[in-house]
Amino acid sequence: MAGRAEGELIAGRGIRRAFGDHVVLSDVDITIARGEVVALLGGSGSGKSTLLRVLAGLDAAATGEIRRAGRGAVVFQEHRLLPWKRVAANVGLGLPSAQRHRVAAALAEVGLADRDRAWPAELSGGQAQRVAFARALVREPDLLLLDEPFGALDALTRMRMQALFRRLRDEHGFAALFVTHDVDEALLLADRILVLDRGVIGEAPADRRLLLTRLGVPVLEEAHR
Amino acid sequence: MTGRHARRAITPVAVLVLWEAASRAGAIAEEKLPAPSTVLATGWRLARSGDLGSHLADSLTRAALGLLIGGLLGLLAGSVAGLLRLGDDLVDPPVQMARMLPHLALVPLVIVWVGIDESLKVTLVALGAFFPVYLNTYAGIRDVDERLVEAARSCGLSALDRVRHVVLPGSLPSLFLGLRLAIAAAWLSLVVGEQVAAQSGIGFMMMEAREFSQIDVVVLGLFVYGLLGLASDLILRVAERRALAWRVGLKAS
Repeated sequence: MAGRAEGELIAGRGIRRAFGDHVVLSDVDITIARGEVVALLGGSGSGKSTLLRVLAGLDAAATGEIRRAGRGAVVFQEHRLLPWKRVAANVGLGLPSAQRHRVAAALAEVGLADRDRAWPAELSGGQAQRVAFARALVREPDLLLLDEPFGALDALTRMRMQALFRRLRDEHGFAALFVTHDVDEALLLADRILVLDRGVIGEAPADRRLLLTRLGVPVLEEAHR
Repeated sequence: MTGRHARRAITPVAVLVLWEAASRAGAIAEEKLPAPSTVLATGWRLARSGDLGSHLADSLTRAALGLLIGGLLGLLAGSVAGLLRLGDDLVDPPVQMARMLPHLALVPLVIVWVGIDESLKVTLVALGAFFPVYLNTYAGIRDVDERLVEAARSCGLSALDRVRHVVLPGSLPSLFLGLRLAIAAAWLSLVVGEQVAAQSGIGFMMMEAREFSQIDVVVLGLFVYGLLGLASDLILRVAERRALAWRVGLKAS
């Protein structure tokens, strides 16, 4: 976006998080620059979501140094809309009243302008997740943190949401860190791919074949494609 | 739907009709159980004389006052225990122990403490209302989805705002359940409290009538208790439907 200085939105050094004796993040360094989309890959239980929560400032028990700049917003795997608030109130949750007027525009951007009076329970899974996106967007974030945001959706909805994500990103130019276990999703959406493995983070190649090798997937499987 | 409603009314109406017929035929002794029509006539007579109204007003005042005191204390203690870890550690153990006692067993002790006048009945109702409200407030707060609280935090809500926008509405269904149980406990406490020592109230009316063998008045008292329970349940149901409108959407989908 015009007028914004270049620079790091988030810079974490030596992030460590353990649950009892089980060390999930042992020594993680991560930086995300303005405007870039970074995918965080890793198997289940690798600590991807833990890292995202730490970066979002939702985990007080983590140690290490994290510097943040700009505004952040989070989209979770589940929509996490408050069932007792109508869609518009969910989007505007915690927003200063001077910014409430942006709610309608945010809903329109995700194609749900006419559902502002609906209860979350009346929405489909894809619609609810779009509302969750609107709730993040309305805060005009510099950095969007997404925890497997399309993970709970069916294949078709998922592809539509990926397209929506790309369109929103082209329009707003926010930076994003998204956690995923889907290699193709990472390749499709990200400028840069990180792999979290055994508590440490590593840069990964943005080439499908090399990436799969890096993740330890037999390349033999590739030949069948 | 109306057909089904009509069908559900068949048995109660049939029971009333049979009861009336059996009484008139002499199959049920008048001094054991008077006919519904007799009870109704007695009710009309006492309502016109103003006796029924004043007894009912006294009972309702005691119930309302006791519910208010016990309910507020239960809400307060339950919130402290549900929201704060320190509160949980300090408040919950003694309350959990105390709730094992049937509160009506405290009648002798309460008489010694507060005497046998109005404060006895109000204290009993308050004691009866406290525990269900406390337990359901506590459970309701504990059952609020932690992930929603986290989402609210990521939206920049302060701790107080999280309580207001997430915890309170999230525990509201449980609060209503607590209130419903508290009201039931309140009537129960009144039945006992007003029969122990009272100069007014539905319970007193029934006890006095029994001594004079006015069984029709005793049965009338039962009817009144039943109607009171029904009315409070109905009011609560309407309030619940309004406050929990978002759940209607849940059912519709």
